[in-house]
Amino acid sequence: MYQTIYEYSEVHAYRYTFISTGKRNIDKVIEFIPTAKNNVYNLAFGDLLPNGGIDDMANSNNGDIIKIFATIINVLQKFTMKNPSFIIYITGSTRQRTLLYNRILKTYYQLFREKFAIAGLIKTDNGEIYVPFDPKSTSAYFAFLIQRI
Amino acid sequence: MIRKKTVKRLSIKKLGKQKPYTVVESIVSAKDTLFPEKLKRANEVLAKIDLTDFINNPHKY
Repeated sequence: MYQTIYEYSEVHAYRYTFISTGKRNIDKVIEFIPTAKNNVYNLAFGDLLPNGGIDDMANSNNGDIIKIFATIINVLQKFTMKNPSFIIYITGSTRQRTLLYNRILKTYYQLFREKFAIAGLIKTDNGEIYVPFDPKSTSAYFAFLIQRI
Repeated sequence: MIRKKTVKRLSIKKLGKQKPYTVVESIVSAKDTLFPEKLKRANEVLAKIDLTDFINNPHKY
């Protein structure tokens, strides 16, 4: 991926912020949250609101979605390089956002597969399972697991 | 001769004139997430799946 990215700040080892400068300026935050499972971190992303809160449902339409996702991927690469044993759990806050993550993974699959093991989570009659991520699959992945290889 | 110890006195009036300020607690803590709901949902899903194969056989994925 050779897209330009936003310059970001590392607030601390698990939190990064940057400003989306599209049609307007929007503060964004990326966070890797330790889950109840050892070494599994949830990637969370959202708009930092003026009152200090977070909106992870926002569809800001700021005209810079490609640059924003390139920034998230860059942060993801940096974070996993520093913590190669960590597994990153990714899912969208909305169905549309999950589909968007799916599209990004499909688009950049050839590049990702060199560096990451990627699994997609699907719902079956026997419950939720994970399978190797297949860019050609029509499966409705509802989340993803990523780890450095 | 015993010297008288001098101490600086603080004026209450002076303190009262200081500008109000807010104590900002450190947000630098991995335990305090900005996305508590998202974490809750992730834990619910992760609790149902066994990651052993993904961890032991990453090249399969």
